[in-house]
Amino acid sequence: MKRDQLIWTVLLVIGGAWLLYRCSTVGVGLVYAQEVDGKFTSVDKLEYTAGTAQIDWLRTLGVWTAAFFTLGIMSFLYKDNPFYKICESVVVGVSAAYWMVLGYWTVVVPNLLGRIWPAWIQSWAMPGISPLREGYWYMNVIPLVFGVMLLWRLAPKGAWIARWPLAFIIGTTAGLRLMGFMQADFLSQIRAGVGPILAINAESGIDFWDTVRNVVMLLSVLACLVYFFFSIEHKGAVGKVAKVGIWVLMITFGAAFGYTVMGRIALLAIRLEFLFNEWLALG
Amino acid sequence: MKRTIPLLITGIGGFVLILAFFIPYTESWGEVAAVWFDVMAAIAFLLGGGNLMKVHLKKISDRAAGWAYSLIVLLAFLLTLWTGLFKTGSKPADNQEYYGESFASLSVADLPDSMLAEIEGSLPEKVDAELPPSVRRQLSVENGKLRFRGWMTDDHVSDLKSYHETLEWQCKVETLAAAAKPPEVLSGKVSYHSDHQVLSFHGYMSDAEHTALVALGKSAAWSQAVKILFDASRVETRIKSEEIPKGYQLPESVKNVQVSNGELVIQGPMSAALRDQVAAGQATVPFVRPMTKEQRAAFRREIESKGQPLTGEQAVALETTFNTVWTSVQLRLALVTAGQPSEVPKTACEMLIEQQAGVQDIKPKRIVGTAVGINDAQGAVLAKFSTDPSVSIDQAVEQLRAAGEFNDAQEKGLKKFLDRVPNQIDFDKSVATALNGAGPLAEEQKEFLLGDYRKRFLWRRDVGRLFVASHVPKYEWSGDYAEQGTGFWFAYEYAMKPLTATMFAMLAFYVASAAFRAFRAKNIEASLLLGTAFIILLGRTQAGVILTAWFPDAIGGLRIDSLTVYIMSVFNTAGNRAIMIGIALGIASTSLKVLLGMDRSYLGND
Amino acid sequence: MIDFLANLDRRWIFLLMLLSVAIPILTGVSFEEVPSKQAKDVFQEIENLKPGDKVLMAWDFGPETEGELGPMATAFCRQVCEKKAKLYFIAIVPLGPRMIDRTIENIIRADFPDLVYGEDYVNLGYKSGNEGVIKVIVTDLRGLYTTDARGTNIDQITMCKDVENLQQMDLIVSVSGSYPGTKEWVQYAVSPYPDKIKMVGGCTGVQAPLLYPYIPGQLKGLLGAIKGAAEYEKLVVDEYIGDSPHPKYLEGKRRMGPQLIAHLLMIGLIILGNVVFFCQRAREGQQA
Repeated sequence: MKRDQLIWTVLLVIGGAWLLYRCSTVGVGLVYAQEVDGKFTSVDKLEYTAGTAQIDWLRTLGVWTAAFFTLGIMSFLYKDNPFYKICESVVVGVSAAYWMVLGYWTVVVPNLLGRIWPAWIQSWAMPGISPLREGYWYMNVIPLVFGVMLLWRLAPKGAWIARWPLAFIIGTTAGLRLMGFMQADFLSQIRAGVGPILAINAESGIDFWDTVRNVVMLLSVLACLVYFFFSIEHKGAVGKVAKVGIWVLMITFGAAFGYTVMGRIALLAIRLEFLFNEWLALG
Repeated sequence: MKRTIPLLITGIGGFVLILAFFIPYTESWGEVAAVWFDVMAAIAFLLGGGNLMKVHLKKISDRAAGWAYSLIVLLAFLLTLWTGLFKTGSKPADNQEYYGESFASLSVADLPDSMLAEIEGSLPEKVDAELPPSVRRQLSVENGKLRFRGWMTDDHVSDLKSYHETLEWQCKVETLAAAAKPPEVLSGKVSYHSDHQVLSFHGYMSDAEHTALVALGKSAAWSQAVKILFDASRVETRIKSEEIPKGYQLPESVKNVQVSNGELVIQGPMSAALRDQVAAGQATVPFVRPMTKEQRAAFRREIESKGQPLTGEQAVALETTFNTVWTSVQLRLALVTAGQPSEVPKTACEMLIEQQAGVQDIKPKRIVGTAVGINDAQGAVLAKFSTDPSVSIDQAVEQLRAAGEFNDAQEKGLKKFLDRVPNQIDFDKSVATALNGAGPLAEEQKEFLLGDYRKRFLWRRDVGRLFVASHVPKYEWSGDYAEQGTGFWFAYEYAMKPLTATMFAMLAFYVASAAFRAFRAKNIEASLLLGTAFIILLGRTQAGVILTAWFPDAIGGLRIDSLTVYIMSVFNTAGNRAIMIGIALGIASTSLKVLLGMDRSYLGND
Repeated sequence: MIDFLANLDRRWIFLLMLLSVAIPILTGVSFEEVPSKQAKDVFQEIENLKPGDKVLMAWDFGPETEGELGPMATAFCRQVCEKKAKLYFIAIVPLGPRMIDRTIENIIRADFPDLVYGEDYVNLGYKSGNEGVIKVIVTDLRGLYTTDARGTNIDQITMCKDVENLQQMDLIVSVSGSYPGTKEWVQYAVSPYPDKIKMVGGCTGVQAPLLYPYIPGQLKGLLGAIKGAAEYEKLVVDEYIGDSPHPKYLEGKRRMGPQLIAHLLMIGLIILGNVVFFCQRAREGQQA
């Protein structure tokens, strides 16, 4: 443990010294902002050099905070530690508030309150909407009532009250999904799967390789479906077909794995780009 | 009761959506259900926040393990919530603020009778819909007359026209609009916003305008409103400015702004157009012409004379920037386009006359003028003009007219083209950007390229300050809660964004560790999975291409990148299609179970 | 040696991963892309747009997947702007609005300053309800969107006046991170109106394989992960920008450098892991 601590102390000291050096020479994490019509927008360093922007210390502090959070989360790779826990707590709090604010300003205000009491909403929050009620505006009273009932869950008593809106949410979700999946993922897929097998080429007649492709594809789908069919025991011919089905599925999962790896790396790359370019100004 | 009604609600909610799918008549029912669902989803966000607070407050009050972290969660939550709900730091929305206008409250009923326009006619028959909300308060039908109280705007006209798509009605709207206009002297200066119930005056009110406005009505409410507007339109705002350009002159048309002795003064509010006019002043910066080889070399020498020579990369960047300047070919094309006959939309009344005259195929637009091209002699004029700085725009126009037919639209087109091409300041700035991106620049070089840009900017900044200072916010809360610079934006940009993004980025590490520990070719299935993953990993980067590029074309299909395509489009598609079909069936059955009340687990136990 | 590897602290693997991504970023390794058929299909579909066509830009991703999807969004926006089509931005994931703001700021305002808000592009903003939103606006846009994201009345926005629902869109461009996203657009917009609505998409690596069955019937083209982004980006840059594009148009290409090294590392790790596994098994076999 002692050796560990020593190594980390040395690394941190070196890192800190280097950061200090960079701060004093090129500046680290500096953000420049330009004032136009009373609003400040972040701009690149050239504007600062040109004398049309100034260093925005608040945003600079922001970049340092962002760097701290980035490193804080990454520190979990070494081991669980208080910094990571702090970051985790912050993200939970900020995200919940973000969702709440978003729901409030983008839906509750315009689509609920703004439809029931448009004149009131127009007078302070959304001057752009019409202050007159539309026909059938009273239909929006129901989601308002349901909404209040849903929020009742927070109250210590009367948990059953929230069941009505919950029942509505579950019912509509089921209805939506049922149709969406049946049409797009069941019927359309069957249609796409059994499409023309013979690939006809305008010039040379039947295109051999494309036809092979279509046949392989159809057989593969069927084999997989046989594998999913658990009502029959996978024995004999059925078992062999099911085996092929598993192979196709394994290839599918292999492809999924390859693509997943690919995605993850790009996500890491953008974070490192942030640290190197925006914070440390190495780029 | 506690269970039956929820079960009914579930069933109805779901089946309405399913019915809407099959029966077109019930489509709108499904829409209503879906809208409710969407609103409930937003309320669920509120519930989520409330729940989070409840849980963590309890943890803190119980001093449970890790309560300090709960405190952090709570603080982060409340702080973000505060900044978002109260829009801290958010400026009122530009598009809702009516810059340059002064408002005085006045209800529609208080509008004087001189603002009542009447024409013979009535509303179109057989229209169920209500009148568009924008005109509902002002339009009425009395004694066979259409009456509009107030002045009609373009929005009113277009809303009313789309109320009923017949030429008769639309022509009536046009006639009404022609009648519902302010007196000539106030044209473009006053408006009445019925949505906001305000009388509005644009800019500074001259004495003549004041007299005309007072004369429109006699009621106390009207006089009061006019007085408020008069006072507001003459409020003086002044700011200090040390950035007034040398020899600056205001455009002649601007009367209510004074620039002197390090001070900017305005009477009344400032519109965005006035702001831009004041910022530009009378002087114009010359536009940049395409440069010849010699001119380019001279420009480069001038930059280099101010500091170190350009690096190779900078030289390339400079050359690229030169090439972005317009060419005489582009100009010629623009003039040919400008010389095309223009299409002017016909009014509904004009089309109505045609319809009554029995015209079958009524075109909504009229063609004005004949096509005028650019002949070779004119082309030569343009070519010379594009490189010779001694030829002014007016001279060029003169020469173009002398060389052949050249109409006013083309002259306008020429000026518009040159207005839009970068001027010297813009060009120098883009040179600076390009050079700075490709290598170092000395201070003096930067000053040479950016000095004028800075002066222009600082002056514009000060005019912008006057623009803001002279404005009285009308809707403090109309701004964007997440606009750059607001508290909420800070919370997102510098906390939520790095945190969520890094959390996802961590998966890269775990996937690497899993690859080392868990992916074992134990049997055929596992080997297939691994093999595919190998091919995809290689095939979706340059490695696959490099490794197998030497394969002869006969077995080109075996190149890794081709194999990748084949795997994805055949086996992967097949496997996922089968999975999709399976999942769809699963979802269908679970959904039906819920809707038919067979699965009631979501209702809980009591 | 085998024992050492078998008991290797996974933090060494983490370090290797970090280096394999960090070093290429710092050194700026990059390669030329050769566009695949998928990328070309997407490009061509947008290329077929006529000036004035309406394009719904469904930005359903957030900063967590921006690494993969940011470059696609940038290139999509560029090409659609170049085609002089009208852009309608919309988001059904909570963080989408921030991505729309970025695209508008970095691409439209920076490189197409002549485009006018409300006439050439509009930001309709976010609505909650996931696929429920699509379900409504596919038949009635005003059912949910009475204003744009800035609070302007939708009936006063020139380019929205004549739009009643999504069926009037000439193309949907969906960039999506997870749920809800491209799949939901296919399910609730394209599938019910196959003759009216066309769509191309860009999605994360995790989603891409799952969406392949929709091609080409329900989805005209799909860009998968950063590779798809880099290929498509190249097509757009070659066609519309030419030499020395701004670095923001090369993000995909830049991220393919770290991608290559990291993929090689992954392959190395899998092979090494298997070598360890087989050696151990052989040893156990001898002992038994």
